[in-house]
Amino acid sequence: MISLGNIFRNYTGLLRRFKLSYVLNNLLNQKHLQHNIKLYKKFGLNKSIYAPIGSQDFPNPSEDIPWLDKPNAKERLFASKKFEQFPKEIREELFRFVDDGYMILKDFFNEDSINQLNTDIDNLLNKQQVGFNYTGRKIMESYKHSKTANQFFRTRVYWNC
Amino acid sequence: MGKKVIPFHTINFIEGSEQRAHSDFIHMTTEPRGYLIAAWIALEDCYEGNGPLFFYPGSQRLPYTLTNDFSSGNTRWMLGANPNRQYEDKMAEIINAKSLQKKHFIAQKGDVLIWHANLIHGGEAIRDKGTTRKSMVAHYFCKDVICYHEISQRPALLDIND
Repeated sequence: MISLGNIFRNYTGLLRRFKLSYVLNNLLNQKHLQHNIKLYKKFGLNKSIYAPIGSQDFPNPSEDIPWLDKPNAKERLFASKKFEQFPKEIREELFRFVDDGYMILKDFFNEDSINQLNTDIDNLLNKQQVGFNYTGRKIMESYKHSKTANQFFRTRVYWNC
Repeated sequence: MGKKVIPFHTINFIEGSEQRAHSDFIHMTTEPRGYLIAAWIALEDCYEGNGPLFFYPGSQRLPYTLTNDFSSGNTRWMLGANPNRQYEDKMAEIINAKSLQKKHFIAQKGDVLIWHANLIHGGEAIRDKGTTRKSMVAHYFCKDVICYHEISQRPALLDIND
């Protein structure tokens, strides 16, 4: 798939500033935007799914917020059967997420799987199957090339927290 | 979160990011707001010298900072010359004004930090030049919300079947 996004990943010139460049990229990636047809209608957004979009398109943002951000989030955690099943340390971390916006899972991934992931990243870099983006620091989307990175990415514990 | 979560992308780092304080929500914005979550994985031990991750506990409760809150320079046809810098300057101003307290995550290999869409965080300067701080961060949107990049005004490209 031709992707201006891939080109832009390493490009820092003037084209990056033209909104039309992104519209072209959106047209080249139509299948990744089709879900927005239904969503734009649902949220009353009357514009093309390929057009630029920003917070100015939502002058009256929805009042729907994640339940973990609601004042009664801790009560809801207490009431959850899933919450009861977590060990004490995880329950405390979940409360910390509500209060402070983060949680820590100590020693969550084992040494062997991390060593495998580091080896995968080194190999992908050596074979130039992945590279650093324009920041010079970030390697984007390694999960598409490394089975181990993909397994890390899709570890479901995150999704249930 | 209250909605099904879908994987968006991963970013790997070999060195620390040295990225200034920011909230992920400016780069991965949703309507309704707040339906993004991130997980950062330490792929080697961190210490004060190799540019550990830092964050400001409780900062997720601040209002979301969006392009109307700083001089992005965006026009109808073009993006501003350096909206990221303008945004980061604004975040530094907020941190100072609110006297937010910085915390470092001195992670051990295998540890995971999960953070809220609006938690202000960044990468500390690499004091010991040449050292690595291998890590991977993964971002997840929620399904059935509109996802986009506030600064560049791009809708997020999603593999919605995941």
